[in-house]
This record gives sequence, structure tokens and C-alpha cells, in this order.
Amino acid sequence: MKEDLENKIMKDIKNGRVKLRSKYIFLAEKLSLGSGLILAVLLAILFFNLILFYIKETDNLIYLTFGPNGFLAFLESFPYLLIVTFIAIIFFVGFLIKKTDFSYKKSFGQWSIWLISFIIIAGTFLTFTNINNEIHKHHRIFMHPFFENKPFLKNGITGTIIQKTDNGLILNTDRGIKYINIENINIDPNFKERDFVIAIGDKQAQDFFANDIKRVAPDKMIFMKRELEHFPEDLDRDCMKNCFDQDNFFHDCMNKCKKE
Amino acid sequence: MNFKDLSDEEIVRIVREKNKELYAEIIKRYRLKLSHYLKKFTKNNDELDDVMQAVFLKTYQNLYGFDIDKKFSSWIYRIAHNEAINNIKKNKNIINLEFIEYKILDQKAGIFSKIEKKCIKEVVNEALLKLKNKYRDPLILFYLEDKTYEEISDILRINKNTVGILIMRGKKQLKEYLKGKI
Repeated sequence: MKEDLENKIMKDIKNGRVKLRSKYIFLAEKLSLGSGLILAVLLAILFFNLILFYIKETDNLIYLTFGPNGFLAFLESFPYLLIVTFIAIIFFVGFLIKKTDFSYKKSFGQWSIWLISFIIIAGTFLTFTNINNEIHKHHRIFMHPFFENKPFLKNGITGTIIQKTDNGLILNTDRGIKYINIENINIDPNFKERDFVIAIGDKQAQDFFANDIKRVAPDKMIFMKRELEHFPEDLDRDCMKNCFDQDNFFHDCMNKCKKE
Repeated sequence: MNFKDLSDEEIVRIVREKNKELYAEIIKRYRLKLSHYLKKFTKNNDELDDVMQAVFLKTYQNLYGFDIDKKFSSWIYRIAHNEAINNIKKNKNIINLEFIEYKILDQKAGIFSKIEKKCIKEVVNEALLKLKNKYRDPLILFYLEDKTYEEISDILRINKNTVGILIMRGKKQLKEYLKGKI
């Protein structure tokens, strides 16, 4: 019986019915796993850096300067999408490491500590380079889904003043032109057009009712500042300006000045 | 050249590059060892032959996937282990030790000396089946296949330190289970 087994296998090999899988298949598998792993680690570093950049250069952290009242806006504007993406990449890296030949030599806990430490250090280092500004300048479209989608933000708003009205301010924000009602608060009379402001309050229907507002130096939020330099493409700037000057209602101006 | 003096790894290199027929030597070297290991996970000789054949064919087909700087025996045992798992999945749980192996377990691990010899097979099989695979596989490889921690680590793809822990816990669980049977 044992002889049969050997003969049977060797017969299949000699006849060519059973063949060696090409070495290039194994090489390709190794290369794709290796390059996939490197790419995933680089992506994890990039996303960790983006999380830090977001916190540092957008309105997120500045909401906390309003004290406990700003905490809700801070939570609402937190970069959840970036964090979820980062965690998903980390899981993917873990999955790829498990597939390698060397992963079992160290415990998964050890791998995790090493890897996460490396990603955090490299990501932090990257935040202090110019890479985020370069990405923002040349590849804005990559950052938009992560930086502009603030679906939960209802209690905070940031933007540059386009126009002052009796009871409010019209702001150019990263989510378009918005109207802030300021009748319940006393604002600095020196507020002027192009000032960079941040406010907390409540969003009711299309408008925002501010409970507190302050001017911020634009260099505190480099990303926001640069974003707000872009006037919404679907609105005619001159038309908006004239419309506000004629004391029209905000929403009428928005409808009137939409580009075809 | 007398290929009997060659190491497994050298034979693999020759099979891959020059002489496919030398693979017969690999079969000769591992036929007994693997059948000894795989017997535990198969119901009868026919099934054992099928699994053995699958192991040797997969080993041959994937020879280029073997890193020549590593130990061939661990690599082929890994393939055999995977085939054994596939077979267990197909045929539900099987544990089929030989009588001498119960004695070996008794001597080396000292876990069931109080059990009557006539019911040893039944009780130990039941106990081994109750153990999770992660405990059972290292126990079998360590006590019955005489594999070192390093080799078990390579075969099961688990950390070397974890191998020791799993063997210790497996032995403890086996003892506890058997205590209830005495």
C-alpha cells in the first residue's frame, strides 16, 4: 500500500499531470503582500497625520476656548470619518501582517505595540512637515471628503464675514454661505468684513442663532483660512455683494445669485 | 552522488532545479513520520492514504513556495496539519491514537495514570476531543511527534512562547477533565 502511494505520486509527477507551481507565482504573491503592507502602513501614517492636522488647523479645537459651552461643537466637529478610516487601515495592516511568514515569530500584542508606536511617531513627525499644505494646495479633492463633511456639526460655525446686517452676519464657511443671527448676543462693534470668526449656538432651519462669537487669528486655522479663500463656485460673488447691499433677505440673495 | 546524505533542503533545491524524480526521496523520508501524525486524524487506512497523497502532492506543487533557508520538516508538517484540519472538518472530530501513544502520553505528561488500562482509549479520546484545537495540536506535536517548541511554532504558526503556554494549559485541562472520569 505504501509503495503504491509513492509510485502513484511519482507517476503523476513524471507524466506531468502534477506540476510545480511557477516560482513567479510565489514571487508575485510575496511582492504583492510586501508592497500592500508597506502601502497600508504609509496610508495609516498619512491618516494619523491628517487627524492631527485636522485638530490643529481647523475649528475643532478652538470650540473648546468657549469653555463647557463649546464642548458640544468640539465633539460634533471631531474628525470621525478620518478616525474610522484610520482604524479600518490599522485593521487591514493587522490582517496583512497575519498573512506574512514572519508574523507568528512575535506575539500579535508585540506587533501591535511596535506598529502603532511607529505609525504614531511617523504620523506626528509628518504633521510638522509641509506635506499637508502641499496636499491641500495640489490635491484638495483628496482632503474634501474628510475635512468638509461635518454631518454632526449643529452647534458651531466658522467663517469669514462677507456682510454685517442689523441682526446678523453673513459668513463664507467651509460649507457654503451661511447666515448667523446675533440678536441675542453683544458683538464687538469692530467686527468687519473679511474678519475670521467662530461662533457657538443652535442651528434652526437654515439659520444659526449664535450664543457666543469671537474673532480668531486666521493663522490659528490655516486649513480653514485657505478653504475660505475659495468663494463657493455655484454663487456669483458680485451679485451676492450687490444683493446684500440692497438689504435683501439672505435666502433671497442665495437663490438669486446661484449660477446657472 | 549519494543523495541519502543530502539534507531535505538540498533535495528540494535539486528537485526544483534539476531532477524531479528525486522527490521520491522526500516521500520515502516522510512517509512514515507523516502517516504516524496523520493517523490520529483519520478514521481508517483508506482515508489516511487519501490525506497522505494530498499532502505529498500539495508539497510538490508548492515546492517553490518553500524558503530553502528554513526547515523543510516544519514546512511539510504544516501542510500535513492543514490537511488534517480539512479532514477533521469533513468528517467531524476524529482522534485515533494507538495504544502505545496513550502510554507515551501517560509517561511524559503523567495525566491519566489512575485510569484503568482497558478504558484508557475511550476516556482519553473523549478528553482530547473535548480540548480546543489550539490546545490539542501542540500537545500532540510535543508529546507524540517529539517536536520542539521551535518546530511547533513553525508548524502551527504561533509564537514560540505561546506554544509553551498552550501545552501547559492543554495538559491542565486534560488532567481536569480526566479527574472527573476517575
